[in-house]
Amino acid sequence: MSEAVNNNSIQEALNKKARQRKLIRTILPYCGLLFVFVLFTVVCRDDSGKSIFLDRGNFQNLINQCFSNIIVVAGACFIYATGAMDMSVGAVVGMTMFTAAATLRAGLPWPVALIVSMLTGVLLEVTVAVVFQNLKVPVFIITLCMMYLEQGLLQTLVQTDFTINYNATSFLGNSAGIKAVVLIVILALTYWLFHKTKFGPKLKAIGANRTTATQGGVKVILTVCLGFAVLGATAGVAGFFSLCRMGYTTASSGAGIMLNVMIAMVLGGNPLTGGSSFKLANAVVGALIVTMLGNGLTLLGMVPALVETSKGVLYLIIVFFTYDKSKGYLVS
Amino acid sequence: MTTVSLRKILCALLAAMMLMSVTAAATGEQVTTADGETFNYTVGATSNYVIDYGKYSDVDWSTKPTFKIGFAWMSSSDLLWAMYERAVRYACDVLHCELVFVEWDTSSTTYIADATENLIQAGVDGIISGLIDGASVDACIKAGVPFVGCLNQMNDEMLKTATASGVFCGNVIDDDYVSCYNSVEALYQAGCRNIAWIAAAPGTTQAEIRSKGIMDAIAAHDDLKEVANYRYSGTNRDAAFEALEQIIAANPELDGVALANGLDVTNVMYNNDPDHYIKLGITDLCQSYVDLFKDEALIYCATDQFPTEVIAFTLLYNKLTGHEILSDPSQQMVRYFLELHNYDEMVTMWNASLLNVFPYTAEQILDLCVEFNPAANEDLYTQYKNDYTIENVTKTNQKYLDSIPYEGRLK
Repeated sequence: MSEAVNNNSIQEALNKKARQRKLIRTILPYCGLLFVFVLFTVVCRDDSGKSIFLDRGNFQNLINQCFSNIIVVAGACFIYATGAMDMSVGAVVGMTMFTAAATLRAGLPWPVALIVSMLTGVLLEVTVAVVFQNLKVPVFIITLCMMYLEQGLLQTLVQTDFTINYNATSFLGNSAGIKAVVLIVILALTYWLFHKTKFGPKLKAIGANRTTATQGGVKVILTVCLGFAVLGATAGVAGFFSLCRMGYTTASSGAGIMLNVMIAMVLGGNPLTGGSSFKLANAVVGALIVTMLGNGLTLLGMVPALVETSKGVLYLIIVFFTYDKSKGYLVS
Repeated sequence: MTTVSLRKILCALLAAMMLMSVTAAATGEQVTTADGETFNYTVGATSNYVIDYGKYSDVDWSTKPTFKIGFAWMSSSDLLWAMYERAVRYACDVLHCELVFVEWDTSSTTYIADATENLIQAGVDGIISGLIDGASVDACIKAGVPFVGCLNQMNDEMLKTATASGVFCGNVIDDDYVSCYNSVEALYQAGCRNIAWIAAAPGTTQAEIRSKGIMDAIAAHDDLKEVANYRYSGTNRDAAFEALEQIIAANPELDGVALANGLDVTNVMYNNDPDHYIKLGITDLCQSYVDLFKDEALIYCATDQFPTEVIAFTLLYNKLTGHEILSDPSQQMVRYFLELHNYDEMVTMWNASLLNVFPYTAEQILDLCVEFNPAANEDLYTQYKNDYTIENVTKTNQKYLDSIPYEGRLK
């Protein structure tokens, strides 16, 4: 009897510890965000002592600056949850910007350009998914190949700065209000899809164990393709609004986004191998941290050489505390 | 690995990073001129500019306005790229202004606008931007912050919008077309008749203008043959080196190569053309070109865009002090490159531009500012543009260039 009591109390203690660890892991990314927010609110001040970080103008800047990152990151969750990653997402955004620009230059209205942009993203990402799943080559390699392919295509198509009638669409690119509404709508939609429907759990099940997911009745190929399609659609939205903001696109538009996506996932504490602990909110928090760091360090007037060093150090610290190290490998 | 040992490693890493960043700044080697002025001449030195005010030495700076200037540009980790920032920093120091320098974060699609907005939020009085897009123009107009562009073309729509705003000071660019045209012309004059050329991939206005310069120069001579050309992606310069190797191997008749960008092809040329039969004409500079010039493999290099942003800064400074220089800011101001033809000119340019001696002295910079020189006007700017030659740069900075020990040059 006493052994049974001992076992129960040991089990309770273990359960309590597990709950505490889970709680800490849940709140740590938000602590990272809070830390960055408080730090810059305190140190970024003008000559009169007023905070220039905690300022209406800066909030509008932050919305403008984090918009594309957050939207792409929200879509990327649908593939990262399966343990996959997409090195070609930057090239996809570049291609969506091109097709949107071509549509606007053809005289079609901006809603059509937005739809064309999203369809381009979906088409390209679904192609990636189909190729990756049929060739059964690691997704990292496939998406790297697709990245080169799409970049080459973009360079062939974009012969010079590909401009649009900026004044006709600048209200979309520069309006923090419109972007905030679009952001909320997209985040609400992706959150609902990821956490409130069976789609998200299926993706996570694939990330946890593909074989088990198949045996459990998950249509793995279709589910992964749909995940890539969601990423493509969000890349299309991000590309369209980036085009409206810049007024032109170039052959190198979109390059570098995939690193931001990866950093956002890791800073938010999501495991790169996907699985059950994957959360969309964490990824969004990571994207916000990335944007705030860039914004805050500039407002601080820090010498650029130290900006990169500081970013690296802060990323290291945040990742050390937030990253889920339970799996032993980077990607499946 | 235990948590404790991981933490120790992390602490050590952080300490090492801090130490590295503190010791990163070069202190420089000092020399003294004939009349007793002391300055650092080591490349990358961060202290001891030569600030020669000349006839403006008696200016009472306490009565002059000072401004906070924002400058957005690419990463300055490379020595030559760092000169862009140092040139503006020098001009700010001359005019007792504060510089806020922001590197573009190219991982964002809208990095130009992001940098501009952050600078405005940081409270700058004026902005110099190496590239201007629609959102940057809008942000500056909305905030009422004067801005000037430099180094890259702006499209007509943006120029019109910016000019109509009243806060736009103009766009100062380098003559990419002429420099690339002249590089092919120099090869032709040197006797080259079978030329290959390499340029950045289509996709930016600058790449197209430079390529057009090369193509037009080739087309201008009936007896000049284009044997090959290659367009490389901006993110994959290694492909350009491989392409050059293949072009040299596949075309034994090749005797000239025109490069539209400063690719570090020195090793490629030494490995594949050790006798220097093939001549090079290049726009933009690389540190290793000194060897190519010494061996006379390189016969033309158009370089030194660094003063472009100094000129742009003076336009901005004039605007901030209430003076308009350009009668029509929508007409982009085009500066000529410095054209180098031999090793001595390279050494002079290197010492003048890359050390703490800048081609435009403090006196010359103040000459361009109405606040100090009421006669400063558009004609003076045109004269500055036309007078920018290696001979004039040498003459202006003779006493500083003479004081640098020969073996110390190009260090």
